[in-house]
Amino acid sequence: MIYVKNFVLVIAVFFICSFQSGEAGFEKMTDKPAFRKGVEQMAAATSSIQASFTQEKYLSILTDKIVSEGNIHFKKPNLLRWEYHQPFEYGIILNGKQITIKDDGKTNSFDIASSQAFQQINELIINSVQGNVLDEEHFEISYWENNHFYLTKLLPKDAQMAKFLKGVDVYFDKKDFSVSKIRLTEAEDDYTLITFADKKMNEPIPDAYFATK
Amino acid sequence: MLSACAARKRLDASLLPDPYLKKTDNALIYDASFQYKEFHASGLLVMKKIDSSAYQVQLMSKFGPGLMDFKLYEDSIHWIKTFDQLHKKSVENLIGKDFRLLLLSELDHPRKVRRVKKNTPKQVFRIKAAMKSVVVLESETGRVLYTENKQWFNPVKTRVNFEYDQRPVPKRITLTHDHVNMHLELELLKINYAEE
Repeated sequence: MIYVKNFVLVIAVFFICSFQSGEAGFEKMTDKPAFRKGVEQMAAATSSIQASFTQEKYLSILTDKIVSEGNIHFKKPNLLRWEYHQPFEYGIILNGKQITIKDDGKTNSFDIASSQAFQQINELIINSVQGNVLDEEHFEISYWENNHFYLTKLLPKDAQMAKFLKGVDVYFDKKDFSVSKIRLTEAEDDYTLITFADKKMNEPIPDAYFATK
Repeated sequence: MLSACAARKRLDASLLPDPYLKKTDNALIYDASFQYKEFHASGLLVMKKIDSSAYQVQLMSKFGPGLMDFKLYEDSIHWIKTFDQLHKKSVENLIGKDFRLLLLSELDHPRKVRRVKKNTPKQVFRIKAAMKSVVVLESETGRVLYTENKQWFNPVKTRVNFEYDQRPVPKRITLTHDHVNMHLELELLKINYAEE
């Protein structure tokens, strides 16, 4: 059970925080209200999201990054399938009632309603996927932009979370306000960068695709 | 006289099996799969030799964030990151002991190692350290196949098996404990260059 709790914590931290960095060429955002409105409108107008992603893990003890790849499928209000295909098979499915982890042919399911932590995770993941992460109650947020991206840098206010997570950068595509990149920086300055590609918005996805069995 | 006897028993370092991390300047990345009773979890495990007798081990979730990070020295372990639930001396000591076996780190200290069986397809080495253990080596390839701890009273003996392909490091490492329904399996994902 310890491992279940740990996993929950990790997932929560990951999805709460996933987005921060200091990339060259970014300047203070000139019109923050317009950006927030754009993100809200994008979230409201989006019924589904499909994308591929590349995840790069940078560790200070390695010169080379660890790369994994997969796909994400999201359907409103709360269906999510987040899968890795390379170099391992691993995935998480949320269907509003259960969190299911598929790991190399093995499946573990947990009732979301059985735990407040699971409920929070479910909410956080769903909000994150939609770009609805501008939570100033839990994060100190700064706003940046360059020619291609809006960048929000989130610093956790909660000391417990800050022990694991130094900050999160979320990059929004200026063309459609969708989330393009997420960078999660850990306390030791190791970080995870997730870059989304081949984004398809509002294309039909059958509910059966989010079935856990 | 005593020192002469000790010197005679001490094994020439060149005859010792090497810890597999000594055979590469790189870090190793394994897909780590953990099973305890019905519960299954997995992550990525990075293992790197950081100096002549010290190792760093990092465990991270497949979503990216680090979960556990420690440095293993000859006589101590330094924790950089761990779960609150695991941050207990007894648990951390157990993890440290398991990883000493898994990394074969005691082989870095020839003064602790004696060969007790030779001239056979498999050689057996006994390690006399704070945790006594044996190491079984395949004579033809020089690869370590198996290790276990050898305490007099040890109801949860740790056993580690090593399997290989053409690479110089184990492609699969399996760790089990007697009388505990727990299983750790590592599958080699990548040999990764480490910083100088």
